[in-house]
Amino acid sequence: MGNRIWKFLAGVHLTLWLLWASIALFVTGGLYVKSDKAIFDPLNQMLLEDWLREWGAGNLDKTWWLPLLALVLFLLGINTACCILDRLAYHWNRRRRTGTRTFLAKITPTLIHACFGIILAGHFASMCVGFRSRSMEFVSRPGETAHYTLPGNLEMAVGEPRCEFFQGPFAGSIRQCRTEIVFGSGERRQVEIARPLHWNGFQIHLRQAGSPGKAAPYATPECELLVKSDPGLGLIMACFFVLILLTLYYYAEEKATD
Amino acid sequence: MTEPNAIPYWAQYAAAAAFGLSALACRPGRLKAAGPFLLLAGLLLQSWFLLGLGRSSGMFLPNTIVSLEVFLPWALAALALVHRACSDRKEAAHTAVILIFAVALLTTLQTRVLAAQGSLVYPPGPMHPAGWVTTFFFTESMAYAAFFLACWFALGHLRRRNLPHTFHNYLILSFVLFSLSQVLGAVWSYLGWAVPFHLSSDRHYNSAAFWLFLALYLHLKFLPGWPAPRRARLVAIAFIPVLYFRYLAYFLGKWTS
Repeated sequence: MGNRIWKFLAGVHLTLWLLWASIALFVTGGLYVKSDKAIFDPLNQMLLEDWLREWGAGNLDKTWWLPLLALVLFLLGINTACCILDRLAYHWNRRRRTGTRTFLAKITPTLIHACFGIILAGHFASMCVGFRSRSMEFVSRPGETAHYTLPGNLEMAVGEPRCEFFQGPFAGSIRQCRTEIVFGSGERRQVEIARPLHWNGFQIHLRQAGSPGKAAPYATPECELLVKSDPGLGLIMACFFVLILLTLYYYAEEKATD
Repeated sequence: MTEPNAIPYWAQYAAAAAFGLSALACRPGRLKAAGPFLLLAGLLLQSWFLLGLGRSSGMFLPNTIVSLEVFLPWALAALALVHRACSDRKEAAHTAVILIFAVALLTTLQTRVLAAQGSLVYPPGPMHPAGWVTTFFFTESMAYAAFFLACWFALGHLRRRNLPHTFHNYLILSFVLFSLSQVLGAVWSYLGWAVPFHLSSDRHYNSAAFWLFLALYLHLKFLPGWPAPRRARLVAIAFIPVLYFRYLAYFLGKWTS
């Protein structure tokens, strides 16, 4: 009985159903997100738990698919983990007979699945753990220096934004904006749009507040600082890259043996 | 901000015509030998048009070249030429030019609509770092092009049952390129919006669904109930939702806004 349950949990048939379900939920979610952006926009700047409390629970008719998607992806994670353990145990026991090269080629799909599992875990960690600043909690305003306190009683003084503008065909549009931050220890650092600053476990991003396309020419806008500590980010990026390399290796090996 | 007069539309029309003539070469006749040269001519003309489009604002914007749907015929033609050069079944590989011609015609019409709206060139800005944006759209478009070719050859396999490896290999290429594009896109999204997956953009959800579909397909080969013809049918059917969610819905949204 236990063996049958394990085979079911580690089976490709279950993977197939879970993948179909997650595809359907992603497409459904995309349609809801498109029609109700105001509800889903805060999700980018809030932990899932806070968002579910403030936005999700009150709009269940539009957000029902998100907990369901999280559940299906969680089950897919379980299915992937079982599949990894199952295949790994099988090939490990046969490694002396097959030789190291064949063993490595045989466990490549298992490693690809491990990467996928870690990417999923990374996304869950990114959405559920760490710190995310709220909308306009940390602001850099023209002509002002603002003082803020980060979690852990870390002080920072945020200077005014200074912007460069395009000349020629896009004259007056913003080329880049930067702000100087002075941390409590006296350390001075600069943050620019799309060039985040990593400091003391925090990622600090600078972003133009409001609608970036609608600013008046040559006007220095108010900027927002997005402050985050995200434990999942590194896992997602690294494992996605490794997954691609392993996929290439696997199919190159398969072609070579054909 | 745009200067539509500077865009060499003639090159786009000529490229579509070259693809059309190359498609005629799929049938037996005098044009047959000219088929690959016409395909190459179409690719070069499309390249000229895209370069003109990238320079049309008076400032070279590489992301404009690769981010519009009009890059798709170029991507398809480039893949088809490489495939034709490497394949030992050149005639079967060359049939892809029919798909390229159809896509070239549709994107030519779409270019006129976007030009009339003044939305062909997206103004540059700090949220769109040219390197990340360009490489993201390039790999993403190449991945979709590989997928559409997989759909084409899956249809071919359903008709003649002789191209199981061709559509399967294109699907693998699409998976690798699309995975790469998702890494590049995640970096861009992180730099610009502080999140690797933008949770309020429907485009990201559709991309996740597409990536999972490719992953699902790769698993089917290991299941006994999924021989090549059944997998080919699934891939051929997937053409319609993928085309709709990635290209048509996006374009219709722009058109009606």
